[in-house]
Amino acid sequence: MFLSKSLLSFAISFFLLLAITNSNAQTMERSSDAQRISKARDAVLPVVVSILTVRQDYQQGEPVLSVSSGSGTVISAQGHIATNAHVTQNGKSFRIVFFDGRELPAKLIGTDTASDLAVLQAIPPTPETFAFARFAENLDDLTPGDTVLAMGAPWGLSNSMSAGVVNNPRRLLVSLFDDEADYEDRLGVDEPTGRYYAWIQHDAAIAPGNSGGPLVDLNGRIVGVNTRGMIMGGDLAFAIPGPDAGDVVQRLIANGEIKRVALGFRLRSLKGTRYTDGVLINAVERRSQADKAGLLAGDRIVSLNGDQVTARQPVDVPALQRRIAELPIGSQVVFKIERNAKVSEVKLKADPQPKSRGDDFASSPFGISVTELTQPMGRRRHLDDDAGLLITGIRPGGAAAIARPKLQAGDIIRKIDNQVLNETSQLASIVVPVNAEKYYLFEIERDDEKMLALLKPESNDKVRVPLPELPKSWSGVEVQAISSSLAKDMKLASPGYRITRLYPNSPLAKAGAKTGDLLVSLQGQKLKPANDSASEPFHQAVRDVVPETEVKFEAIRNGQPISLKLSFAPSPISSAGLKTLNLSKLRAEIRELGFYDRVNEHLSVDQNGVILDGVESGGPGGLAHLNRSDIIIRLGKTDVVNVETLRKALDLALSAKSNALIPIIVIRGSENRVLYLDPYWLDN
Amino acid sequence: MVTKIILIAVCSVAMSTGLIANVQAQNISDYRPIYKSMVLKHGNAIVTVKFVMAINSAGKEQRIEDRTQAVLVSSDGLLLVPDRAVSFDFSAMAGGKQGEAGMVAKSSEFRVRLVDSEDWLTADLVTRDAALGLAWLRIRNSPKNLTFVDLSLGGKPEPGMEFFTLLRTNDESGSVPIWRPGLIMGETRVPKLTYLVDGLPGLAFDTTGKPLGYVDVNFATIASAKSTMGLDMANTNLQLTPIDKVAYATGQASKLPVAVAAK
Repeated sequence: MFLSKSLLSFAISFFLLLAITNSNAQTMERSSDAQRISKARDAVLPVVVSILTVRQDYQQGEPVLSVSSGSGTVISAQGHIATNAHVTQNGKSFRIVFFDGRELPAKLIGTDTASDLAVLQAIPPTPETFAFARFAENLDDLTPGDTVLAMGAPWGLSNSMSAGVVNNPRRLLVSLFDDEADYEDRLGVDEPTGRYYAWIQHDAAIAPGNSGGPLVDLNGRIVGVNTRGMIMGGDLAFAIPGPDAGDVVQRLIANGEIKRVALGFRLRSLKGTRYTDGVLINAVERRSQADKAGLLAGDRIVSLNGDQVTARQPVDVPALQRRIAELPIGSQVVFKIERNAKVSEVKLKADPQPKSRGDDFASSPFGISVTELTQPMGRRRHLDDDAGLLITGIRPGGAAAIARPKLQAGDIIRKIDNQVLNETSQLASIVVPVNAEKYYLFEIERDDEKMLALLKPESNDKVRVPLPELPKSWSGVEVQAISSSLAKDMKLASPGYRITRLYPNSPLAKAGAKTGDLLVSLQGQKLKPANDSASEPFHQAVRDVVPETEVKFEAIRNGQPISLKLSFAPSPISSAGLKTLNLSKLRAEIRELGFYDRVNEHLSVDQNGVILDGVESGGPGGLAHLNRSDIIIRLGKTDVVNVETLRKALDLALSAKSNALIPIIVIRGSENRVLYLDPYWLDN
Repeated sequence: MVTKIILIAVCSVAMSTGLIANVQAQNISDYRPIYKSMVLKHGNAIVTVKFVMAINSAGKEQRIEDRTQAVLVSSDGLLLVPDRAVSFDFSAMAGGKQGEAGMVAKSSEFRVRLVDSEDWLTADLVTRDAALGLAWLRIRNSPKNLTFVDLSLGGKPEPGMEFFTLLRTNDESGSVPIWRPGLIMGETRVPKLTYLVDGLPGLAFDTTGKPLGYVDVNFATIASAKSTMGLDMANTNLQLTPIDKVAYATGQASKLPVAVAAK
C-alpha cells in the first residue's frame, strides 16, 4: 500500500512539474504533505491507545473513585504502553482501548512523576505479540514550522488525530516577563514535573484526554509525548521530547522506577549576567548536603567532575539538571565553584533523591486521610524532620472533626498512644475495637506547635437513618383554587377547590371522586380560597384533620351537588423518609421506590424497583453507566423489588464467578434500558 | 447544680406571682429584669447541637458540619430543633412541592452539649414535621431531671406582642445565652395559622417566660416571592408557629422511639 501510494505520488509530481506555475507548485507540496501525513498516520495511529483510569483520590477524609482518560502508545511487542504519569496517577485499575476497539485490562509497570511519564502493560487473555512504535532517538532536525500530528483521545474520543506545526522545539514554560527561578516552583508543590527537559511547543490541537498520546512528525517518528495544553487561549500544546521520553520509559520497563541524585541546590542560567561560562546556583536548600558543604546561592559552577558546564539561557538548564540528577548514586561529585573571582573545589556525595510524595491512606474510624511525609514535603513545611503522617482531609462530623481539640488538614500526626507513626501501614494496623469506648491520644504538630488531641474513633460509620415524619392526613388529589370571583366569572356554582389530578387508590379516588369535581366544603366548613393561585390551604385543611378520621366532602359535579365520605390516609412517605442503602459493591446509593417517585415517573402504583440517589463515577455502578434517578428493576436473572432484593440479586450474580457481563435493566425516562455491569470492576 | 435548681425554682415562683407581670404592664424600656429571669428560667434548656448534613453528589456524600440551638422539651432529653437542621429540601427552595421526590440533604451524627458540660452527647432523630418546620431529637443515655421548657404551659400569641427569643452562642463566643426581642407584626391563616414576625429564629417567649411559639424562616415564601423590583415590602420571611401546634406535635413525638438505620 505504501509502495503504490509512492508510485502515484511520483506520477502526480512528474505531471505537475511539466506544468510549472506557482499555484501548481503549491498544489504539489500540499499533495506531497498529504501523502506524508497519511504515511505517518499509518505508522503510528494503529498503536495509539486510549486509557481508562479508575482513580482513587481523597476528599473530606475519605477515598473517592472517579474515572479519567488519557492516551498512550504501544512501545513493545509485550504490550508496554507509554503514557503520562498524571494519566496513571492514583490509578486503582486501568483499561486499554486499542485502535480496533478491543479492550484489555492493564497493570502499572512504573511511574516517574519527575518526568511525568509512566508505563502500563496490557494483559491479554492469552499471550500475544503487539504491534508497536518507537520514540525518535534525536530531534536535532526538528525545527519551528515542521508539521506534527497529535494522536490520541481528546475528551475521550479515541483514534483522533490533529495536525499543526512545531512552534518551538525547545521551550521552557517561562515567558519573557517571568523570572526563570520561579519555573520550578510552578511545576507542582509536592510533585514537580518537567524539571529535566525543555518542551516541544506546537499548535496541533490537543485537549484533555490527549495526555500521554504521541506527537508524530511527517517521517512517522514519535517526536514527543503530548502532556500539557491550554484549554483556553489558543492552540498551545507542549510535548515531552521523544528521546527523553524513550529513555525514561525503557528504564521504567527495566526497573519500574527512575533513581536520581539530589545534591540540595537548584540552578539558573547566566542570562542577564556578564558571564559566558558556567551555571549559577539559584537556591540552596537549608540543611542539605550543599548547604553543609558551604555552597551559596549566587555561586557559579564552572565544572562538574572535570567537565566544563554552561547554561547561558534558561532553556539550557533542564539538561544540566538532568545530567546532575543522573550521576551514579553514591559517587563523589566534584564541582569547581567560582565565588568573588576565586575558584574552589567542592566535593559532594551523590545521595539518592528522596521520594517526592508519600503514600495516601484514609482511616475510617478516625475520619482522616493522610499521606506519608517525605523529606521534600517536610522541608517545604519547615519541619525538623520527615517523620509523621500529614493529614490531608477530615471527614466532617467524623472522629477527628470532634476530637478535643479537633484535628485539621495540615496537622502532622507524630504519635498515636505513644506509638511513632511514619507509614500509613502503621495507622492501618491500629485495630479499633467495635463500639469500644476507647480514646486515643494523638501527638500532632501544627504550625510549629506540638499539641495533644484526644480522639474517640467511630466504628458505626455511615449510618443512614431514614427521616421519619409525624403522620399527616392526605386526601390524594391535586387541586386548583377557585375563588369566589373566579367561580362567578366561570359561572360555577360555588368557590372551592377543583380536582385537577386524582392519585390512583387514594382516599378520594376510593370515595368515587373524579377529576373536575369542585370540592366546596370539608366537615361542613366551607372551602373558600382566598385567591386563585394557592392550593396549599386545601392541603393544610386536610392536614389539620387527624389521620384515619371519617370525613365528608361536599362537592359539585356537572352542576349537581354530591357527597364524598372517606377516611384520610396518612400521607405518602417523602423521599427523605424512605430507606436508603449505600451499596459499597456498586459504589452507589440506592433508595427504595416511593409513591412520589412512581407519580413523577408516570409508573404504576405497584411498580417495583429501587431508585439510584447517586453513583460514584469511578465505581462499578458508574462504570456500568448507571445514572442518578435510574430505577433498577432487574439485575442478572433476578427481579429487583426493593433494596434487599437488589443486594441479594447482586450477590447471586457475582456468586456465578463468571467474567460474563451482568445485565441490569433500568427505567430511564420513558424507556426500559439495558446496561451491563462488568465483574472486572468489582474485583479491581 | 442543686443551687441552680433552687434558684430557678425561686425565680419561677417570683415570676408567677407577678414580679414579671409588673414589667409587662409598663412600657418596657429596660429589659434587664426580663433577660435575667428568662435566662435563669430557661437558659439551661437552650443547648448547642452539632450535626453533619450530607447530600449525595455523584454517588459520594458531600458533608458539612454545622450547629444550631436546640430546646430541651422534656426532663429526659427530648430536644426540639428546626427541621432544617435535620433535612433540607432543595425542591422547596426552588418553589417546588416539599417532601416529595426532590433532592434532600439529610443530617446525621447529632451531638448535644448540655450547659456546663464539656461532653458532646450523642443524640438520635425521633421524628420531624416538615409542615411545621420542626424536628425532635432524643439524647442517648440522657441524664435525668434536665431543665426543660414545658410547651404545654404556653401563652397565646397576638399581633402587636413583643416576644423574646433565647439562644446560645457558639463555643468560640463562650457558649453563653443571648436573648433578643422581636415583634409579632401580623397574623395569617393562609395557608395555615401563623404569625408574621420580626426577630430571631428560635423558641419565642412572652415577657413572663411562657413559650409563645417557634420562630423560623419560611423558605417557601422566599421561593414564591414574585416581586422582582423589591416593591412587595409587606412580605416577611420569618414566621411564628403558635405554641399549641408545637406542643401537640411534641406530644406526639415524645411517644415515639428513635428512628433506626436501614440495614
